[in-house]
Amino acid sequence: MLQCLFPEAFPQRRIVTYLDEWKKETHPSSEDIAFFDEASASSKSVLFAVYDERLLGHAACKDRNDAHEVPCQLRVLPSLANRGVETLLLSNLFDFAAFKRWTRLLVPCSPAAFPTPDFFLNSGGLAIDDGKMILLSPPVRAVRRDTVGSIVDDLVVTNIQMWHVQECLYEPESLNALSKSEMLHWLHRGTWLNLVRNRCIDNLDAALGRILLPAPSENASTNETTLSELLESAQASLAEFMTMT
Amino acid sequence: MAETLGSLIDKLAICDLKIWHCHDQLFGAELPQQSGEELRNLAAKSLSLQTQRERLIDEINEWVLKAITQPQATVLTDPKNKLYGHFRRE
Repeated sequence: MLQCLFPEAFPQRRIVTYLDEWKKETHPSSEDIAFFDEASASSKSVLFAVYDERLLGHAACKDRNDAHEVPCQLRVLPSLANRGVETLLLSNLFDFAAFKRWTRLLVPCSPAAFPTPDFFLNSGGLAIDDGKMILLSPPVRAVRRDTVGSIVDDLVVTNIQMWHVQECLYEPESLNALSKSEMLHWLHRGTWLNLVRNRCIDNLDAALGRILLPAPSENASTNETTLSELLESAQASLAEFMTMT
Repeated sequence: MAETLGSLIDKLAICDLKIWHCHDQLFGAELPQQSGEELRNLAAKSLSLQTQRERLIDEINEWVLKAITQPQATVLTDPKNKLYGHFRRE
């Protein structure tokens, strides 16, 4: 059963109050976000932390009582399964601003307490599924992420994200206002985005190469390395490097 | 007017920027000040922008394929030929 929350249904004061308590109890890092399991809130609340490394699908699980971190797989809830994992990845495209701030919308509630307007069902938002509160991305369909258009889109989004990070990093006043850990976070973020940006550029070149160069036939025996093979090799190396970092 | 690859990417970049700012308002720090009606409008805009974004991605893919398979039928350039102000001399 999938029920969606109407924006007006949020008792905002309650959200803020709850979040303050929630933060005190769980001590989430600034990047923690995602699903709140209300069914076990009284004893052992589980918070799935989905970080913004969208292509890696990195996830972690935290125990509310002792706040230790447990590695786990990114979970796709049944209600999202038919929308595909791709939908989750796409929802992270604008993660840093939106995903991080979605925490303020996390509220414990009863599924029966909220209406199910078609409007919000069709436009993403919050939902309650099987007693769990989850986040829904906007209803984007699962587009292929290896086409020229989609890679250009990734590149544009990454550049937007980089703009906002560098706006902070290149501004002496804003940089000076940060704590050491915050500064390291932003530097890490900027470096990471630069790698993602370069990967987008490489992927774009590879996508064009795939279209322009004919696929090598299986019977052809040649010692020459084609451009597409080189690109694939470079992509594999980059992917390996990314997983290491 | 015929769409070129440059104009399509330009539209996609602007669309992504709009989505960024739309999501910033939808999920950002200003949320408590926004009414339900405003949120509803923003969510509708988000949906519309996402649809535009998907369409533009498809159009870029189609343009690239067409440029390769039917280069003669593809509009590669489409100068804007602006004629206002001092730009008319440039």
